[in-house]
Amino acid sequence: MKGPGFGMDERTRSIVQRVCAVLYVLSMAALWIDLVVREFVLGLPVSGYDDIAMIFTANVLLFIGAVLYYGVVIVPRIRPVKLAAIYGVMVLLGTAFAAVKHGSTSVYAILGHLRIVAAILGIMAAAYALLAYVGHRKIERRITS
Amino acid sequence: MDGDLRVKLARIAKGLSQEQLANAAQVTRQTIGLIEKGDYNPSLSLCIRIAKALDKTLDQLFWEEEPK
Repeated sequence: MKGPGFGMDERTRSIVQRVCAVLYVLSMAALWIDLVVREFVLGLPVSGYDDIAMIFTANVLLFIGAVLYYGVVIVPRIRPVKLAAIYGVMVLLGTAFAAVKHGSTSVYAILGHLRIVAAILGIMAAAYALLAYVGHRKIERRITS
Repeated sequence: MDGDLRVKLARIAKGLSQEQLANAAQVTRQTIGLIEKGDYNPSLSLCIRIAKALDKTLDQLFWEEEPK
């Protein structure tokens, strides 16, 4: 008869998972608040903390990707028109944020932001859609095999 | 009878300690204690391991009759 490996059984593993999940959310929230305070309250130059911002961004993006891939969140089917509308709103919001952040007032500069934001959001949406599709197919294959 | 109490009674009837049942089911003694107290809902695979260790069926240990 052998006991649980490393003293962990399903109950303790579940507790550890819950603790890790809560701590992850708290860490990400703290990191986000730290970034906002540095940028908008203290007015520190971005170069001083862009590594932290990159880690935060990568973490959040990978988390969303993993959630979609493993089918934690079942994404409802969205009609293309509605999807385009959501994308358009996101692009406008992103562009507005970039314009305000960089103090851009000329049409040329704003269009520049628009192009970058549209491209980034487009790549993100495509990558997430692909991840969700591949994850969904993997689960369906396991069910039907 | 309470399903959790049935685990305890079956374990005692088989002459096993919580520690021995825990080892047979590959969990910690605390987990067995909490199952017997009704403070932890085991997974199906753990229910099967406990049932096998106690030479009982899942029905005998965990099935709860609906009150009539």
